[in-house]
Amino acid sequence: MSTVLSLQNVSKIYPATKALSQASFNVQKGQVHGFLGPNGAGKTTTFNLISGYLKPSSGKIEILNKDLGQYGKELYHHIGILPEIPPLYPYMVVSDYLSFVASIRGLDSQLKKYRLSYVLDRCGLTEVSHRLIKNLSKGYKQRVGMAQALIHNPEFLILDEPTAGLDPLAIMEVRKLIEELKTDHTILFSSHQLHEVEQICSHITIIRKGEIISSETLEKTKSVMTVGHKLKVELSHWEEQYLNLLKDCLAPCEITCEQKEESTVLNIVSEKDCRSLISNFVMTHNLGLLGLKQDNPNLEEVFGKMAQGEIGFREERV
Amino acid sequence: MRTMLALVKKELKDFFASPLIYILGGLFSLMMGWLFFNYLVNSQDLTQGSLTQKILLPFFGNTNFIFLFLTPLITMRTFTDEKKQGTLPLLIMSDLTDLQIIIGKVISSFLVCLFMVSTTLIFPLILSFSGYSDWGIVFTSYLGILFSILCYVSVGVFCSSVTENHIVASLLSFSILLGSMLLVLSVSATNNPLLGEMMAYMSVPYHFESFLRGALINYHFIYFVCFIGFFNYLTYKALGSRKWS
Repeated sequence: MSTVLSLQNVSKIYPATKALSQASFNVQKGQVHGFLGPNGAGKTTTFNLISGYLKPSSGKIEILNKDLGQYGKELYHHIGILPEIPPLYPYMVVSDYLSFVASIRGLDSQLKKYRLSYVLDRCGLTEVSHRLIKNLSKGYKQRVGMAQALIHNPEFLILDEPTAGLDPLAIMEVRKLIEELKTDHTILFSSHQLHEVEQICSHITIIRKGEIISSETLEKTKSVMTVGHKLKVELSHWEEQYLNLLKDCLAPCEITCEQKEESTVLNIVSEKDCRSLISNFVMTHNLGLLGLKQDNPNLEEVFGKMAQGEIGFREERV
Repeated sequence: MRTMLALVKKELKDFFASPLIYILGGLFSLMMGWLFFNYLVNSQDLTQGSLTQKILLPFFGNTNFIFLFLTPLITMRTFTDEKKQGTLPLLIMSDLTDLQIIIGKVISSFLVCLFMVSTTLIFPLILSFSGYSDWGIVFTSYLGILFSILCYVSVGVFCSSVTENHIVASLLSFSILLGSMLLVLSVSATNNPLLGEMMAYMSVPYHFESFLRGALINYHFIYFVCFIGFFNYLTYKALGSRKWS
């Protein structure tokens, strides 16, 4: 798999502020890569550096294995960016605006015509193509922003919080659009909607105070929180005498009991996956299995812990 | 070049879609009409001097002076709006170079001013009905006005590139332009003739006056080119400052 984006020890220092410190991560072709971090962590600075709008204080950014500093303008043809606030001219008609973007992106008139009708169709803008941008809803404005990022058919799309401030319906529409786009484009995507990132992204990079603290697959990122295998077992018939028997059977493990009105919930943490052992134990002693659930942490928990500095890949490795 | 034309076209559309340009244009035409009428009426009382001296020279001098106030209002939005709307990265990431963006903005603002100046063409035309025929002076005066406006536009675009606020941009460019104009008045405050000459040379009106007299002298052209080039260079630096480490 080829590398579309590579950040190598990139730092950005403003007077009295270190916005980004020795950041390194890669985005491979075909990935939908989530870029997460709390407000002020350095996400937008990173995007501005990748898009070439800002210049790093040190380090190297490569896009499609070419140095961005050296091949800037050439590489811009391969990048489409939707910033947090879409770059729109409010007093322009949608189709005129997209036509203008296509022109300054260097598309010839024939290709411009084709791409214009394609992005209008793909982003669901055909109906509003003759309306002034300022009169559009926030969801549609976001779509226009997405259309401008796509007009020159870039290989690599950067989406900075594309669903921020949208209503649930608009969020669903934008999410659906991203799902569609991921078949043709490599996407670097930031969002505060973590369940959304969990649904869309295959890889996650987490940034905190300008430092990359994790850049792994979604599963690996989540597994940082998992200390052993966590199981929740709900039983209809349970007596204290079984506790030691079960502990011996699953050893080494930790079991805590939670008594409910008509059932008992066992919280089991063991080093290995012991679902089949539990199943056999329940059958043998006829304990009446009501439920067995693996208690995996979700991305929200992982992000919360990482953002607060409680856990992190990089620190663990040191 | 094609990309820059697209930018100029878009900028002109923006200008003419805004009511500001029609308000400024209307005010300008009204003022110029009133001034012309005044000079025309007063010229009947003056027995000495040609139509050029009595009407056109003060008229063109005032046109130039009025543009000192109008140009900052026309150029104040060129970069401030881009920054406010977050569209500057869109231009920078396009095929346009920083220099093309600046030239595109300067050309479009200049064309808007040119549109306003074109409304004054009617006044020499009116004079031609009473036998006026000194078209050389008219031509050089308009040339002087255009060069002066190009200087004002360059200052205005620069001031717009250093702030996100329209009012700050217009006040800043107005201050620079007025400061340049006041240099001529400061000449009389110094007893040093060399310093006086240098200060006069630095101001735009000093060079403009030569065009009003119909004298096309090379060093005036050099001054205008240097002035325009200097402020566009400053704009280029201001635009590139985002990349300063």
